[in-house]
Amino acid sequence: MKASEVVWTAVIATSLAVGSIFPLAYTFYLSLLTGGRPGQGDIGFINYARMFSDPKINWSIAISVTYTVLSLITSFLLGLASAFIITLISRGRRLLEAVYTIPLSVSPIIAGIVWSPSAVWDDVNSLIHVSLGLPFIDVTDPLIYIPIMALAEGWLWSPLFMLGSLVVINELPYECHEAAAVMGARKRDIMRFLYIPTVLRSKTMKMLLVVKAIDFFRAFEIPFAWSSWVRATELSAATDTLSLLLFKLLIIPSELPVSYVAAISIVLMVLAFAVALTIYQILFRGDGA
Amino acid sequence: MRIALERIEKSYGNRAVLRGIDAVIESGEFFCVLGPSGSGKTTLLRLIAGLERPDRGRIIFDDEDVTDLPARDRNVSMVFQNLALFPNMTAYENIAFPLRVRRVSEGEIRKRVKEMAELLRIEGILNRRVDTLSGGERQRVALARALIYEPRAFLLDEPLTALEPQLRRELREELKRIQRLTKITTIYVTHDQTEAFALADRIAVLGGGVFHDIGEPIRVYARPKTLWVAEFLSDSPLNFFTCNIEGNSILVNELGLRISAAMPIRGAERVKAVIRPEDIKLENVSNNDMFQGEIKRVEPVGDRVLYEVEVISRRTRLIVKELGTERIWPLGMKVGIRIPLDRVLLFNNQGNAL
Repeated sequence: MKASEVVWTAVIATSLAVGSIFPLAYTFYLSLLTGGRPGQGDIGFINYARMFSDPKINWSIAISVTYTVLSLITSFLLGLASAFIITLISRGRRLLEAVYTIPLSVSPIIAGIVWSPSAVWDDVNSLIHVSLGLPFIDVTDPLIYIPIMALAEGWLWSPLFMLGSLVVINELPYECHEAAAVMGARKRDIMRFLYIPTVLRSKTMKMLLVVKAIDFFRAFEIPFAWSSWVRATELSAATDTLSLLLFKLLIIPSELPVSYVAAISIVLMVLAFAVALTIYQILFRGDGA
Repeated sequence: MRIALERIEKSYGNRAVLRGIDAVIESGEFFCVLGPSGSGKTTLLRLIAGLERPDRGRIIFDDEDVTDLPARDRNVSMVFQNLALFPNMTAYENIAFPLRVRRVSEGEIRKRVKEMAELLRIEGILNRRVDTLSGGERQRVALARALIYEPRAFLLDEPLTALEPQLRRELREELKRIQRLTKITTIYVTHDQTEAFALADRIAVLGGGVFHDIGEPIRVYARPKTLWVAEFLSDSPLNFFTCNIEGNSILVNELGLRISAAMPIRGAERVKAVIRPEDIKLENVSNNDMFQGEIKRVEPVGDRVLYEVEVISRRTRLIVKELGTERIWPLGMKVGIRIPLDRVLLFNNQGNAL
């Protein structure tokens, strides 16, 4: 091995050790402490055993999975729709792209606030009630606000899927568009029979879905913002994704067993990977990828 | 469907690509447009497909003027040079695309794709993604996709160019077979003479934005209408001679040959005689020789041999091409030379055939 290769190997190994392996190993070590804190109790898997019988954790896992699936579908569909609208217009395409990209620069907390009951739903409710004579929608009902949270998350990340879709569509050879036109396809046919299958099957889009699945599974900011709107401050509220539950456990003094929180975070990581891997397996089946 | 092109002109900026194209392609005809790169072949095809509009002139399908009709409403099909298959889709989905656009029911699509796959012998690859197919398979998928919706005309833009010779030959035959079966008016553009001659009912030779000659392949080859066509259709250098006109006969100065002209020639005109290398025959020396010559250069080119032969007593050299390599005349050998006078091509000063 050359001297330069030795140096680079050392640099990479050190950065991996400092950046990834040590935090993970230390968190795992903490999760094994039976006394709750370093220096207390023995080493064992008691925190993991406790966790899997803890209804709060099981509830949070269910919330996280639901939130991930809804957010992924919403952001993907909104992104795809935006991309298709952009492909339909011939003038001002760049401007529209810029406008559609704005949500990506919005802080997730702000997104949570923008889509909050007071910002949007009070007005929507008033409109529905006054103009249509329908009863008020109870936005504190989890069956209502969980989809709204996912919609906020979807809105926030839709530009990512829009840009991904546009990249895939723009990568289609120009002759493909011409061939479609010669075969009698109108714009809506091209969208339905060419763009949608192409985008859905592109590796770029599949990778984006996998990456965002991991991200949505760890979602914190929007559920946090909504937990205050709907007064869901107690543990096991319907806003409690695993990340939010961890946060609550850490800020409630009586619920502060560090080793227990470490065990949850390890499980969160493993589950996020598992969700991503499952989606990866589904999406890339038959691709030879 | 009959296609009429009337005085078609097309320019890009200051560059005139097509400068007055006139042609009529009869219904069910296999029509090849043959021309060198940059001659405007693809542009002409795109105009017929409706992907571009001519600056001047009209395109008529049967009795309908389609000059301003968008591509999607012309009901023609086109196979592009790079095939333009849809990536990330299977062969089946590619072939089914034009039917889905026409809102044909899924059951009917399955039936028609199966029939088309049988016609093109691609039943086994329908469920494979097109990016996993070989060049020949992709080609067949593109043909199937272009034919499945029974277009009024079938346009092909050098679709076999990227393939290896053996496969090209196979697909050429396949294409001819399918065209005969379907009887769809077909326009095929290519720079490859072999392809054009093998496929076409009629050939149009395109150069500099105009058709120099249109006709049956054998006639276009044997009696090209212009010197440019004669040169373009030859893959080896031609033998050029200057001529004097004496009444209704032409004297080829360098060879002392006298040829009768088919029609009276104005005395003031200069005439050029062209003899193709493959039209000259070499024989063992005998007393009946038209000329005698000496082999000065031998150049085997695959399945044929090119010779440079000096005509004894005439101080002129001829390029001769003989098919086959079983008999190769050695360098310095004395040979008899025979030139069939009916194969000598005569052109006036403007390069038009006499």
